[in-house]
Amino acid sequence: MAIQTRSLSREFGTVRAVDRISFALAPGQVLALVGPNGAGKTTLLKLLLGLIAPTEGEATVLGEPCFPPAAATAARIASVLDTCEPPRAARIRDLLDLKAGATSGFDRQRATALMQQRQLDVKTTWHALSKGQQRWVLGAVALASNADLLVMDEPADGLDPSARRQLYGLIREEVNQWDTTVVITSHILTDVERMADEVAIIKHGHVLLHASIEDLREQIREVELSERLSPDELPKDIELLGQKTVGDTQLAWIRRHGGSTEETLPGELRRRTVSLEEVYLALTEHQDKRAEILGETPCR
Amino acid sequence: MSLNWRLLRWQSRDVRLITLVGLPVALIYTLCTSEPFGLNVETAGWVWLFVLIHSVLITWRLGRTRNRTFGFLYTQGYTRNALWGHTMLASAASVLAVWLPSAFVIWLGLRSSYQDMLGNCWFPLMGPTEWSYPFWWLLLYAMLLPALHYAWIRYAQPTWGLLSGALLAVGLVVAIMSIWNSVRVLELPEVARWLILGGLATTSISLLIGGWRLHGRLEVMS
Repeated sequence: MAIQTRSLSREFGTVRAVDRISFALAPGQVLALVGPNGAGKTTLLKLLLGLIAPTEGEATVLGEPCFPPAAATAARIASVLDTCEPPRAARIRDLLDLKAGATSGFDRQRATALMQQRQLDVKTTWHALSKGQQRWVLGAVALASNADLLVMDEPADGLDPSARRQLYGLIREEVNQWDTTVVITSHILTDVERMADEVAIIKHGHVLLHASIEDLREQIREVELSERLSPDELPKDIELLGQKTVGDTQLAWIRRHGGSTEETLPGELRRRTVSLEEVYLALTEHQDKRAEILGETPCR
Repeated sequence: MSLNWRLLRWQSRDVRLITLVGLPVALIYTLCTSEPFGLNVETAGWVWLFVLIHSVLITWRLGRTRNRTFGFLYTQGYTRNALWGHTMLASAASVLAVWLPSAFVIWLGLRSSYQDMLGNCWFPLMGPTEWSYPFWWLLLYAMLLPALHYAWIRYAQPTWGLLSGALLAVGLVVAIMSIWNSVRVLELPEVARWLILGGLATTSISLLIGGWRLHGRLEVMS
């Protein structure tokens, strides 16, 4: 596995930013972390990068423990973090120099070519770049690193639609060509749906759902019901993700596990496939409701 | 760990301004001080203050673990050992850049000539006897910088925190200054002097090694 975590947690004072997260990611896969602001996505990335220590649990990246960070993996990981940026006075070429000093695999020509694609001069200073241009520079440097693992925190934030599409295209190309593993966060769910292999929806430090995009399409449905659904009425292989009342009807989001059939639920009027965005909203907006339905303690 | 000029240049950016301000200040002080130099806080108070402020500023600039640029550097693919080693090198480079010109002003006799020209009655009598003072100043840096670097590394540990780091820094600086002032190194017999210097060197080396070990577990909170 390229990444493996077990009960990974991180507390800041009384706040548990990441709460017992366990997952595994195979090499050559793109995992998208999505969730509301403050969900714990960036903290999870920092844990994977070995920037902060877990308060509980463990994680390995490229076969080495994340914390303390292993020397063997340092140059094999490239990252773009929302909370880290170069000094204002640094020029783009300084960033290229710095990266070239860290890893012999860094392809400076490719990085420069990627800058030129966006009409960026390597002599430009960081503070003279727009937010989108800064993101492009960081993304280009990470992509030119020829790393085995790319960790990118909202890499397309501030990019125009064309640059965003191009950046995601480049990431996908990297994955297809070199089997690079990618962990990415994004709020643009249509992009996630298009470029990720797996998605994890996070809220309050919990992973509410971790599935492949394919499974998501096949397994999750929105069901319109004549009456409110009780979790007890559901077959064992069906998980109730959330439900809400809309006028006279109930909307429920369910996930079929394994190879179960599309069995009709009690009071079912109709059902349809849902987009990632709808699943996301169902889980994050009605998650506390879901906890109430399922008799769980809402996670905080 | 091998020397990486690119990394050293990057880390030196953070202390560039301090170095550029410190250099002329040290130079002017060395050239213009009319009293013969001393070693203790009473006789060399400004030197102590300068070295202390310079060391604190270097440590602060290179150890801002909550700063966005610090986080950036620590995500660029360098090993912790390389980062620690080059933090030390950047500190040493700033010290040398500030210290060396002042040392040369003394060693080349520029200070004594200038003071003599001003009619200072101590010079040229004091000129030839001051050659060793730059080394004592360097020793002050060698005592204070490892202590302060150790303190910020400790501050950035997952479990210890600000108070432990700040208290440690203040404690170490006060201890170093007190020991230095109470023993009057130059007045001691040679053996005792070397023993004291050996003890201080051992402490500094221990703090450097301790800092290096703790740096592997440093938390980047940007």
